[in-house]
Amino acid sequence: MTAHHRYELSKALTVAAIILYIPANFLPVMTITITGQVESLTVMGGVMELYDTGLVPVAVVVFLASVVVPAVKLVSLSWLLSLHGSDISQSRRMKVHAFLTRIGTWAMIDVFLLSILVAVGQLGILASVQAEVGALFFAVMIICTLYAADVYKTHMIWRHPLPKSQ
Amino acid sequence: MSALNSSAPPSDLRWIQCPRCHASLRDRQLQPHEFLCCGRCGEQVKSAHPGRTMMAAWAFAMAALITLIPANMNPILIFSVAGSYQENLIITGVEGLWMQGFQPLGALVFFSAILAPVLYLLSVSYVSACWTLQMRLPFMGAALRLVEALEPWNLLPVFAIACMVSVVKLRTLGTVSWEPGSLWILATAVLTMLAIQCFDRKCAELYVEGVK
Repeated sequence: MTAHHRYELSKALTVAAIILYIPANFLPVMTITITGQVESLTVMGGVMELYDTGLVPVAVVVFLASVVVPAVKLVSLSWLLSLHGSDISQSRRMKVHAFLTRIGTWAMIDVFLLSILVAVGQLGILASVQAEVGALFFAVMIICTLYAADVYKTHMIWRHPLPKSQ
Repeated sequence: MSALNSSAPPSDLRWIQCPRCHASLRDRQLQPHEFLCCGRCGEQVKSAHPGRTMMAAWAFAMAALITLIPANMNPILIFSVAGSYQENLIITGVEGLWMQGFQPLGALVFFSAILAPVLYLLSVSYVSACWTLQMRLPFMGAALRLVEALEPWNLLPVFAIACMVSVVKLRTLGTVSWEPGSLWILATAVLTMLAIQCFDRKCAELYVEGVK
């Protein structure tokens, strides 16, 4: 894969992730049933519920990992890609890229959380957790951002793009 | 151009490339405990003793592989409502997602929490064992490529945190109790991170290419 192909693929994945970000955050991720009460939760709703039960540190961790991290990733990925080929703040872009790959995986916490909660759903009517479509959008969005950051290599920040004629 | 650097140039006249930003750097002989760093991005390009920590990487990767077995066999948590209880393993969540019709999500959790760590640790220990024993075993290049491909999929630390959050979250639904399984997952995550720190990828790449 040449640098240009990598750049194009990264751009496509970022755009896909930005589009998927909307359903991922507005569709419910899971439905919780406790003794007859049915409740649908979005990603943000899950955070609010943790906050309401008084567990502020845990709520902050989940909020950072599943709401802030994807947003920060999308903004900085589009910043990196929009400056591709120019020589503006190249060393800062290197740092941002390193930061991206370090925080990138933490958004998966929501998917894992869902998988542990869903296992409870096998207890039957007393308490059950059902996965919803939003989780699917969320997982695909995370995979897109992971790959977009992985495909765009750091040395491409420094290389000038090929002339259009070639 | 001249006769000097035609066949075997001394290392002072060679150029080497920074693996991170591809800047060209002047190569030179290093004193013990000296490093050659890239002037542009600060990456450590060359050290006087390449692969000194490779044996530690092997040890940590093997230890992580061993702790991965109890991490997968022991329940993470036990959840109970009104007398009926249930033990949760990593694989239980995968099954749950699969049963509810979210096969892609189940496959994703299976891959990133069970399959990818095993493959990653196996290939890290294989490559570092090759270097430590100085043996050219088959499929070394494939194992190194696997290490590189699975780098963004090291999700066990994330899973360990998710276990803790889920205990908190399930407290509103019923009674939850901690089980040793999550501690094993935490141990595996820490050992994996240590193995990554000790694994010298540049040195492994050079060894696989046969340059040494």
